[in-house]
Amino acid sequence: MPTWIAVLLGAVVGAAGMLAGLAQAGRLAPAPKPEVLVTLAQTLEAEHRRVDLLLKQRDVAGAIAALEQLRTIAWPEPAVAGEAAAVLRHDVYGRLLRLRLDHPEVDPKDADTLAAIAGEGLGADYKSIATNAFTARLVGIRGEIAEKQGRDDDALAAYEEALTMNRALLQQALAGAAP
Amino acid sequence: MKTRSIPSLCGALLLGLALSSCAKRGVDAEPVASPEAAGGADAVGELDILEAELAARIERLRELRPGFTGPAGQEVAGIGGGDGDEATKASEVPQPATERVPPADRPSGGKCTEVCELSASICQLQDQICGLVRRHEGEPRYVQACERAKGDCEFATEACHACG
Repeated sequence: MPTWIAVLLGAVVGAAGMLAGLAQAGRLAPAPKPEVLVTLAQTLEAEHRRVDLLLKQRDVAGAIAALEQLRTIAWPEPAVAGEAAAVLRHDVYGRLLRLRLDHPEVDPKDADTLAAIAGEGLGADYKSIATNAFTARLVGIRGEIAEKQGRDDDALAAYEEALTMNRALLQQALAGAAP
Repeated sequence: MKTRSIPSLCGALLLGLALSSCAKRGVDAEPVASPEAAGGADAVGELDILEAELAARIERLRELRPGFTGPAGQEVAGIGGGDGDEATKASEVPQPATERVPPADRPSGGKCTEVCELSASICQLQDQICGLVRRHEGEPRYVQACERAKGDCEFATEACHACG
């Protein structure tokens, strides 16, 4: 099989797997235009694998740069691509901010800038999205950033919010079915 | 919480992916494109990168499933296009502390793995919440939050142990 076909099939299967996982979470509103979501997921899957490879090569700066580029794409609105698109965005931003917090010496950004990135990633309506681990992680990270800014009250609120999400996810996992 | 039927959605998505993947390279239905395409990156270089990614993914799968072979039954020699020892070097690189995804939505080892990974997340949040108490001793909101978080962590840890 030609190499490029194998690569393409790999990306397709990977993206499909990601979407199946999100759908299997069973609680995300469907995409009015699934093809938009599919395209987005396919693109992100390829980029995440590139970041995986860069990290394996210890190229943290390259990994951060690759994730920063994803901030510039036109993320589709939920009205077009459904809630899953927002969840995918939370995944990307969560990964970016986790890297930045773990490697503050790489392309340093102050806490205020990181807070703005977290807000940008979450968006205004993140609380309306069904509970999921990607959003929970990003909310928790926002708490870490608030703590670095010296905003302990906001940090506590974010940590508690993330904890509530994780508690709900644990209950779902233990129950073995969506509530 | 809403529930959704999975099979029809997955089937439609797979079909859509298969049909759209070939056309996507030259078409942007929405302004969502890979940075490489947007930047006009060299196609050969892009394929080299993707090939390396796929080889790395296959290598990881082989570690998990001995005897696994790559596409078309080809044995994987290592990370494509590079030093033959690169795969060995890559496997010796300490795993980065940064985890990509909270595995709760991507269970890798079944329900128990998901439960235990959620337990780890909950207990990490407990550490973060209780860490704030040191600067806010005597403040009820912080103290109570820490106590609740400890309870959640204990429950989650027990759930993980009971599951495993």
